[in-house]
Amino acid sequence: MKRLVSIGLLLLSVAAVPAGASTFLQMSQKDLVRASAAVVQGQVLKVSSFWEPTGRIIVTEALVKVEEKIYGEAPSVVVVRTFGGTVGNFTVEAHGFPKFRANDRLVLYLETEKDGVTRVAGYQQGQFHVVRQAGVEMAVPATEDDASVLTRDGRVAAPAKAIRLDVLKDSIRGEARRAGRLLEN
Amino acid sequence: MKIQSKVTTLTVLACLIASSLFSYALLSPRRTWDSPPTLIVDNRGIPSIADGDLGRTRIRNAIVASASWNGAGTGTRINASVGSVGSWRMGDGIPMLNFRDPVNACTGNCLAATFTGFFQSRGNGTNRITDADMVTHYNGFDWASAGEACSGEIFAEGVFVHETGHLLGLGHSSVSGATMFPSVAACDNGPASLATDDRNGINDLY
Repeated sequence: MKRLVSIGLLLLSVAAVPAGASTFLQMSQKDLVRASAAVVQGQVLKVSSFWEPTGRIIVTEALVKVEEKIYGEAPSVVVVRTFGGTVGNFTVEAHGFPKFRANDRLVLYLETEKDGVTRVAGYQQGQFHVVRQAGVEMAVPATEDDASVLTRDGRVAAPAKAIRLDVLKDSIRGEARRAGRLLEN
Repeated sequence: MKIQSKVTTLTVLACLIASSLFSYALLSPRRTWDSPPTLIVDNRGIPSIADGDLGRTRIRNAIVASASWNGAGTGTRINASVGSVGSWRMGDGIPMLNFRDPVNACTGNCLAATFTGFFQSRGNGTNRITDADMVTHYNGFDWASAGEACSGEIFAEGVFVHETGHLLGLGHSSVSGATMFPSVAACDNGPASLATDDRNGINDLY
């Protein structure tokens, strides 16, 4: 899917530089929704890592059982690929890239690349862990410390905070409606 | 009770002082190279750098400069040469700085990415780094080299000295002005020269 974020324009407006193990521009809910073909809630069934066909880097694929399509079309089980992983005794760490573990419950913003591979839009910004806290389901951002997330004016972005899962879903659907996207629910 | 309270206060103070002294961070889990790696700097350079050399030699020189990691008091930590990165591959033991992105990993809102790999084979709780490679989303930036006139561009030297810090096993520092602080202003080549906090970090590691 063609990315809706105009990288060139974004970068021209960046006044400070990236400097991180990996560096990403902060994406708003609007950016994420517009960069996604679908947003789903699901559970990771299985994770497998392998060297990608050129042999240059290890990638990891997660089979995710889709429990709810928050918006957009998605199969009942979606294969999501990310960079990094472990094959044998060799680990490639892809700092700031989405990571998966079996049984994880997640909200994922999904995009399909030109090669047909489905990835998480916005890297870790497009991934939330679903956890129950004090009887309430929360969406906890998957962002980690060894990645820099910069605002469009080049500052270090404030860490994303956990929010109630239903609030996140409402926000996603609201943006999807404004973007004229298909709603499944 | 009063003594207990004083002890608690002193402990808290000691922790605060210690945390202010150790503001650098190490990548987790802790990891180091057995011997100084040789980083291959992409000989295609960065087209927007107008120093007549596409910045490649200046970037290489900044990485091995005495103001950088090799002058931090732990001897030579990194070697670098300009060369072909056509064989860029994780796990080959040859660290490379690829100004392009041969695996299409750093696209969209990603600006730069460093991949690290390691074996957990020392058996003493530490890890041996066996390879680390960097890619950039280079064509979205206005890059420049220190010494060029600057009007909002990014000085490449500082950025890649910072990235080399990750390659050596360092995480981000909370000290503004340190090379390992996670952002730097345009036209600021400060990160090309280590701060005390950076030297403390590399001395902790090696």
